[in-house]
Amino acid sequence: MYIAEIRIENFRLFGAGDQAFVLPLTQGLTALVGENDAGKTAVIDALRLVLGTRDQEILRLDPMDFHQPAGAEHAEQICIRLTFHGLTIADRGAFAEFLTYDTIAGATETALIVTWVAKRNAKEGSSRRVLPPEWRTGAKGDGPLLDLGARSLLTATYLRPLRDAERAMSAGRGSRLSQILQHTKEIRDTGTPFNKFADPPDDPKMLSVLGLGDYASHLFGESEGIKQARKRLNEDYLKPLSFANDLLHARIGVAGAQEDSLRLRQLLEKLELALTASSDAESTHTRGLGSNNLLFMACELLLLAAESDGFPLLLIEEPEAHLHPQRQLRLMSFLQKQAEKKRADGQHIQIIVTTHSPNLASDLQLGKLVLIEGGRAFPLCEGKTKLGASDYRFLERFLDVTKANLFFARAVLIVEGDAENILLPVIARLLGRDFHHHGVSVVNVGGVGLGRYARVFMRENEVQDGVINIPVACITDMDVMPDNAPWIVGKLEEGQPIPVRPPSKRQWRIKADFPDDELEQRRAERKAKASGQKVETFVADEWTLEYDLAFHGLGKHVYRAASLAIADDRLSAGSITQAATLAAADAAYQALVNAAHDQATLASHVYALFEADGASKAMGAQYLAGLLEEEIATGTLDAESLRVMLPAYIVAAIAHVTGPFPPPPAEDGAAQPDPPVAAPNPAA
Amino acid sequence: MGLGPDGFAPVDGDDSRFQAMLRLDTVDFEACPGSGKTTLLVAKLAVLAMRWPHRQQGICVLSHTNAARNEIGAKLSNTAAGIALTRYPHFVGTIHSFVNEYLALPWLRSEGVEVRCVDTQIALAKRWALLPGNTRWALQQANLTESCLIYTQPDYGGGRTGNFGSHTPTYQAIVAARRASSEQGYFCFDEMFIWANQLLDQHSQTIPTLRRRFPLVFIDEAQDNSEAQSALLHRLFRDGDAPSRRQRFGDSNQAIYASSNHSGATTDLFPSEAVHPMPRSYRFGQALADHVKGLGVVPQPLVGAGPSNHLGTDPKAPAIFLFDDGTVQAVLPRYGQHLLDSFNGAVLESGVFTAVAGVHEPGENDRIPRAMGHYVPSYDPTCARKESAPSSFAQYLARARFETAGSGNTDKLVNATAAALLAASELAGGRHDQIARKSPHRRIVDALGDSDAGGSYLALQENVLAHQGDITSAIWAAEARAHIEAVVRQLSGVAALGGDVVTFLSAPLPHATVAGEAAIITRTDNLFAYPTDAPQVRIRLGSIHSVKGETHTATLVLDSFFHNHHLNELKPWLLGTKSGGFSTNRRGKQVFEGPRILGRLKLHYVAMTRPTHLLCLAMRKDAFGEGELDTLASRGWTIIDCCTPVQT
Repeated sequence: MYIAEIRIENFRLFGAGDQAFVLPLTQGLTALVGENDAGKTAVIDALRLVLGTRDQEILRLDPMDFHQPAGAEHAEQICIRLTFHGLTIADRGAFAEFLTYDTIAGATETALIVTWVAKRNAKEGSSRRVLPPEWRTGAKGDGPLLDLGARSLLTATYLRPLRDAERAMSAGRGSRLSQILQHTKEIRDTGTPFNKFADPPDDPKMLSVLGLGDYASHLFGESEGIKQARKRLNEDYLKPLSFANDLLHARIGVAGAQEDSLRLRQLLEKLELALTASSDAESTHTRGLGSNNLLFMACELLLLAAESDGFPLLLIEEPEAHLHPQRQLRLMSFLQKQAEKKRADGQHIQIIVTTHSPNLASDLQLGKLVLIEGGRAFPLCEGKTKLGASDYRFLERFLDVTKANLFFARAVLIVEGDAENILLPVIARLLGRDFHHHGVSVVNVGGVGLGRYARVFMRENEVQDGVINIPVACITDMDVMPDNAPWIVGKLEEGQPIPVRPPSKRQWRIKADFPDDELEQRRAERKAKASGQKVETFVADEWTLEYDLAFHGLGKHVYRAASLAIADDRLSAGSITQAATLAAADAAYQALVNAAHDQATLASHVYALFEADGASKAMGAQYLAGLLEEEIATGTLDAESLRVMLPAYIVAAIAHVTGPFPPPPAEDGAAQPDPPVAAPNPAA
Repeated sequence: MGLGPDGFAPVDGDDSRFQAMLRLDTVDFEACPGSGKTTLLVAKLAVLAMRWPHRQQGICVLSHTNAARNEIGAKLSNTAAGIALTRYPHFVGTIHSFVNEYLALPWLRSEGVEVRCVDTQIALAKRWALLPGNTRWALQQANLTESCLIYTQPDYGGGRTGNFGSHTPTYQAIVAARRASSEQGYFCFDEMFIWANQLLDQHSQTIPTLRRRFPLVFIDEAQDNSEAQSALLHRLFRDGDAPSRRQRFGDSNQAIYASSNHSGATTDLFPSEAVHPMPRSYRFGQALADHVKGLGVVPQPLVGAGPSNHLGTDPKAPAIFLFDDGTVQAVLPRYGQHLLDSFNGAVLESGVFTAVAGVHEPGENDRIPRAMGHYVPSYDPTCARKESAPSSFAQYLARARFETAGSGNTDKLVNATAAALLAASELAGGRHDQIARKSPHRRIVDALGDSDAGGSYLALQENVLAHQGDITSAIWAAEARAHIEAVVRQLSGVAALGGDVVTFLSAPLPHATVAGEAAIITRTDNLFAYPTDAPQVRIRLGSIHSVKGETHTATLVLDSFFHNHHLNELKPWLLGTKSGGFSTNRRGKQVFEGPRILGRLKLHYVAMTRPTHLLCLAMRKDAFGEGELDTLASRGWTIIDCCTPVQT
């Protein structure tokens, strides 16, 4: 069986009613992702409270665990409800009196529903601040209470974050290793026991582990050294201290004669587990924390996979702890495989992990991820998001480690190219909106699938699930040039007419291709690919980022940056200085200005440096960033005036992910960029 | 276990007890009275419990009555392994509670019904109240009682509705009341079988599921299974592939049913193919065995191997008390005197003495002796009725006192007080789930919380415990009543307590108030003490049903009336002219007695096989004809004539 739904009320950050936390789960592995304090650990702790864990460490409920709504008292009771589905016949038998029969679409589904209720002790001055919890069953919690014996079948294996694997694996009283080994079939069932009344065994190798221990204890007792020591003790010391008719006798031996399981445990507690580099057992070289952690997890899985009863649930907080990225990936694919394997009793292991590792997140199937945000769970499986089946296939291929950042951000900015990737964080910083400070991840999708990434954050059923409260801004180009631009940026030779489409297959568009309101329709279509809920697409007001920057007021800056990009090789080689390049650029730009072009033509000429003259956009962005930083540093430009010079869609996108800017001074109407005006076509 | 070190050793080459212990296959143990079948069952369970390796599978032990379940539970709790058997994953309980817990309740809960109470009396009262006035009138005119509101089909149909066919408005009103109260969560005991069967019909995988959970099933007192129980258990554990192993314990000669409208099972009869006889009684001696074995419907070769000599006294000759209309109330004092004459002080102190009658509910005041009430007018049958709820606060306490019986444990008294308060609150209009996970006491403590009534409740419990449940009318008036009312008001949320509640809360009857010179002292717990002024022996009164499975030092079986006088009808068996439930006619064919005679035989076989030392009967003197008393005397009976005064 597996947990099909977790519902948590009034626990820590989770509220009650429609503020309760509800997480539907599927069989196998589930990874909870999300930024810090989103509630991932609260989910794991809730499971630990209800199910208990096998390491015998008891999680105690603290009065502070009772949810406190803003401005109100702590809640009176915590309610955690787990719904188990997929019960095997053994499960159904074991929980027969607690079951709920469900008929879903004509088919029978037998469910086990456990509701854990803990009440706060409201009495003043009572030393017991939390009343003992109850484990209720039934759909409404009106069934019988779950007995201790039944509860013990549900206990989970829990691996805490920042595990001290070395300690867990070392010898000692009650060591985890001894607990694990004690339940291992091989340890219990291999070999023969030792019989001290028979002759000493011919081959000690045939003995079981316990047999070996007993044999050793027996040999201790027979040891000549011990015998002599005992004799001396008896004759030299005890005899003079005894009465004649009541001689005291000492006996030295290994304490024994307890029941088998106890002796075995004591024996196993002497064992410790260490990793060696080679199969050479004598090597004393010890491995680091990370490897020990892997070893620890391997042991727990060994135990879990070998059990023949109970509910196999593995909870791992931050499996990535102490592991380098490649190991993380190995571990994750191993866990996924374990979760798919069927145990001898027909059970599958259910694994729930929490993670902050983009590595792990990127390696998992998207459908296995659950985004935890603001006390709510958002499973990213098919049907729950606005992603279609093809989107899932696409994202599983292309969602790599760097892009997986988006699961851990407070806000996400999705861009299509390197230029945006480089420039936007700098611009935001210069506007006083440092992305690091605001927890904004910039994801560069490299030209394809912008909307798909954004739709990860959009819920199919907004009313039921609520909205993922992570603002997501997509920045995309409009890709429509002014009517005279094709000749300026070298799409057409001088005098060549605009090819008519069809039959022409030209990819580029000019404004004249969109008569009437078709241009606005194109804008709306681009926007609609991923807009809604907290996701918004910001389409360039005019054409592309560089063009729009030039068009709106950074014409000179863009021209200088493009010129530097063109001269980059020579600059690095030292064959030309930056100052000289800039001077030449300024002169050329001044000439364009003097030619009294309109704004669109001027900007087209600036943009031609990228389109026609081969300036790298990435490099141009780098230089532009540098130039702007310098101007702010030297005070030639301030944040306020820079904002006025930026295209509106860039400012709006930054505002979307970092919060609105204060409204610009009202009297300055020029701060609003002019609505795009169709420029006269010089070719006409 | 009380078997001694060699309780399983063979006796005279008979090792049937030891063999019974070893068997783990599906088998029926046909065990004579006092053969120690409960002891055998408990010993078996204890051995199994010690070696039980499964965490998800358990042993299912089904009994008939709560009394039998408690007896098994009490014996098991002597060992640690035994205690484990009373917990998950095992089940020890009545068939009804098993059906409720594993089938009907999960099913009804899944269907969205909040089951509040499974109790025929309460459910029927609710339904009756739901009926329109004219329907009630119509039913009364047709001589139908509340019991016509019990249904036998999941569509609320069936049951005994007299002449009202399904098309009549009266029938429709009956069905509507049945449905409404069921949807509110009130059910009769037997209706749970309907829902259990519905679950099995709709979710057939429940059967392999339960067989998986309980690979081993023990059924105690299997002869008492009704057809509904037997059929359901057969369906659950035996029918079809991969059945569970089932061992039944019982005595077909002792098959008596809780009420007259029950009939015996026809499915999966007890005993069936594999029968393991246990004819050796450790309760009584051969003399008594010889007196009673003729009453067995299928006479067993009873071996009287008892009694054990822990009382240090020999079995006494059986006695018969004769009386007439004027001396019927003298029977019990004479019995008391006879006990005083037969046993020494130590035995009187430690022994168990009872007087039982086949009928204990009072009826018409004719045909003396009709019922227990003719012998002891203050006898209160409700106290002995184990399966239904008491009808007053005082009765709750009385029953708890009776069950506690000097053990010194307080749980029964505390919970009886709490249950009575809940019942009172329910009468006042409060709603309380009877199918609760917690004891009544805990539920009240939870419900009262920090309110002032919490203090009243604690004070009341203090009162009850201080007087060991025996609250006098003075204390009742001075303290208890005020506390009770405060708690009931808080629980029900009703300020003015109505007539029903007032009746329920009437003061306990003071002891020894029955008028008349006989001044027979009984108490609400149905104990008869003799002599009145300085009691030396206490005789427990009850119905034959209520003493099933018990062992007494001495038992007085009082004649009573059902269509005729029981013992009178059984006279041929007492005189030795008849034996067994059938006779061979002239053609060599076996002819069974009529069903009524068979019923009388079984009932009185149960009653007469209770005592270890002394069996007594009480019959009308005019029942015997010429020479019959001489025959009895020659068969070893002592005749005591209550019509003649005691010789001093």
